[in-house]
Amino acid sequence: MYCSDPDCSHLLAEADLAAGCCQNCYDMLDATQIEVLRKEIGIAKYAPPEITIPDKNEEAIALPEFEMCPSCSADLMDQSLSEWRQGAPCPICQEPSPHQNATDSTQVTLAGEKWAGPNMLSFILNSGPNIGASFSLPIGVDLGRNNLLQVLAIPGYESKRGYLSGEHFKLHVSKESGIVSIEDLGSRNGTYINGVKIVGPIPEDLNYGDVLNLHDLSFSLSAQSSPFLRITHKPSRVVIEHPLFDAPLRLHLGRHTSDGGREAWFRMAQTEFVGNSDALAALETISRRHLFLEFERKENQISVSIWNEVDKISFGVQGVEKLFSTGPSVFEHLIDPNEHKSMVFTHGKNVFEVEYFPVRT
Amino acid sequence: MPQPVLTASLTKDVALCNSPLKTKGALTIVAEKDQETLPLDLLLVLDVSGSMSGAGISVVTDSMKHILNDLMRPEDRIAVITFNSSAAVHTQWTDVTGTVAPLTAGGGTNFGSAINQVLSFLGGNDNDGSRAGVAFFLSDGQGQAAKDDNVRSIPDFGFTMHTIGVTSGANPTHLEQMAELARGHYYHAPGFEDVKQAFQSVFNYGKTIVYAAPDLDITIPDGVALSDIIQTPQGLSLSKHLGPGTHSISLSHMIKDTRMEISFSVSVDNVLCEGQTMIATFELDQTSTHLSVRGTDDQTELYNAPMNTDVTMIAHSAVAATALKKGDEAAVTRALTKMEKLGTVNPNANTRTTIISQATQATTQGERMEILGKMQSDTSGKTKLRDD
Repeated sequence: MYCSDPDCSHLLAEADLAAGCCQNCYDMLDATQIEVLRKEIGIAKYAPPEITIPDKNEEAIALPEFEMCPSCSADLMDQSLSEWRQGAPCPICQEPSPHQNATDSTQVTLAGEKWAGPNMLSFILNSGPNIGASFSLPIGVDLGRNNLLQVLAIPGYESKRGYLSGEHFKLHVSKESGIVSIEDLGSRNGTYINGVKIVGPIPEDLNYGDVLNLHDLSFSLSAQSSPFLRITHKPSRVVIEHPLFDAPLRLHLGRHTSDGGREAWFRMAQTEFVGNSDALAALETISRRHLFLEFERKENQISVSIWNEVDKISFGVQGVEKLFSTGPSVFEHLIDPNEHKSMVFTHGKNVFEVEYFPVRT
Repeated sequence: MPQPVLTASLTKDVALCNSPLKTKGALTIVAEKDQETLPLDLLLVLDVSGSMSGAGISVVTDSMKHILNDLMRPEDRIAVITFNSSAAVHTQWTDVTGTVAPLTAGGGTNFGSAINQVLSFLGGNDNDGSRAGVAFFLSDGQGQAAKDDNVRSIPDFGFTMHTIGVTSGANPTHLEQMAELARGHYYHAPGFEDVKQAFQSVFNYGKTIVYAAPDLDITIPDGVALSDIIQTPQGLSLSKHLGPGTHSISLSHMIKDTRMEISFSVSVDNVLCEGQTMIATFELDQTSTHLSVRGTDDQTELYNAPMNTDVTMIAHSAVAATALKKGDEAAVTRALTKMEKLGTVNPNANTRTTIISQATQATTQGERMEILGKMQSDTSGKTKLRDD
């Protein structure tokens, strides 16, 4: 594809796509051009950062804000609600308000924190005056107008908060696959992924770059938003990457699973290396039950625990060297969650490099 | 002296490292919230050549009286310079309590001497930035041209100069160019009745000034160049090309509750892989901001990095505004089409598309420029059309 400026005959390529701008005449590429160019270059999936708000079939309905008194189940609204929130007793049953001394347990972390945290996902805002801002949302927590708007703090959005339900959606991350999914909690005005409304209690997968819409609030899952681990088996160059959303996370770097089956990553490596006898030979040095790693968040650090059940293994990281004796042993090492860290485990000819990558801001 | 807030950004904040880069950037300048408007010094530079005699002079006199009696606030001042073949100070700075002596018309038209007179008059004015200065240059005919450099130095005195062409005999090219050089607008008044309207419009504009024609210092490191530096909404071309070094450019006034936007093209010889590559430092008064880009070779990150739609919109607005000034309708249409597409993600782009389309439909170039001049963004970036 050529640049759309009639005075410029530049043939657009990767560099133009990367910059979003013609590298000859500064003409900016629009969403349509970007899409065509991506197809030409062969990057099939287009994750558009400039997003259209989907046409909604249903007119948005604003709900009045209410909260239920836990004692008499009365729905409190308006004046009663604000008094109740300030600690006044329920006007119906006179039971004391739980807000009396309570602190808001659903309060979520404010945007701008460097480390999204193991139980947080990062998003980029696609609408409103703060477009482009990134913020974090917690996993496994009911998210609705109260905690969501607290995080976003979008000027002028207060008047529209009624369009979001009190419990609107929930984010999930699979412990096994690391796949992010989203569940609509029966919201009044719906949750949309790329313009398609999601329904029901089964969470829909959410990929990087997918666009979420709640009424006219739009945001997308930020690419590589979470900390992740990259484990390289050096002799065979097998690489496993694992997101670290949901600490504690336990990984087994061996050939066999606990029930005697083959580890998925090991099986994939074998398939990958068919015909490459050197790599296959290197894989054979991996033990059946080789090495266990557990990652856990401890206060402001990540603790890495290592088990070995079979043989002598040495652990090396800058400033620390440790040799494990034969037989079961445990070693714990703390790392800073904001820093990239590389740890090396050596066992005979086997070398595993375990790299920790913090969230990229 | 209150400080404005500067924000600079590129279309993307990451770029392919170890490679050259060409992209667009934008600088926005926002006055402090609840900033008071400055008292206004209004300098009228009036053509009193023979062709202005009769109806022309009486309308101009009426318009001056209207400003003096009805529009001026107690803190404002007015002064008058008249010119024909030569120029003279007709009325020294005076406030609402003063009067302006009657005007008489006769002789030829010499823009050059008028501008020289303006410069020597402003030279004695000693403006420390605490007052807004607006000069208003009115002529009905073809004049002997003023030197560009002389016109360009008017903003150095804290004044912007607006020009008005009365009757079809006026040479708009000349007056438009003078307005551009002096960071002002050009108004077209086909008949003498329109003169009054233009006076009022300029006065209303002057009343909203919160920051008198400031100088923007731009420091550019080696290996970087900025070009096509354009100030919107005025569509003023500030500079064609700035290479490494420190440069100072005069801006137009800052208007109350309005965001000043400066669009530019950026070319970087080589984006570093480690850390940030510095592109420019912008400095206005005591406030400054840095613009830099982060290099990466991560393809996914590059392609998925979000485009800053504000930068895109400011760039399109600048292209549309300059094309409109040049009368290049095809270029305006191209810019508007792009802006319309942008409207799906940035509602302000829709507003701008509407305003610029409206400007293209105006019958005279002067009207077009006037509509463009009224296109303003408030401090939050929301675009609106000023209604005066």
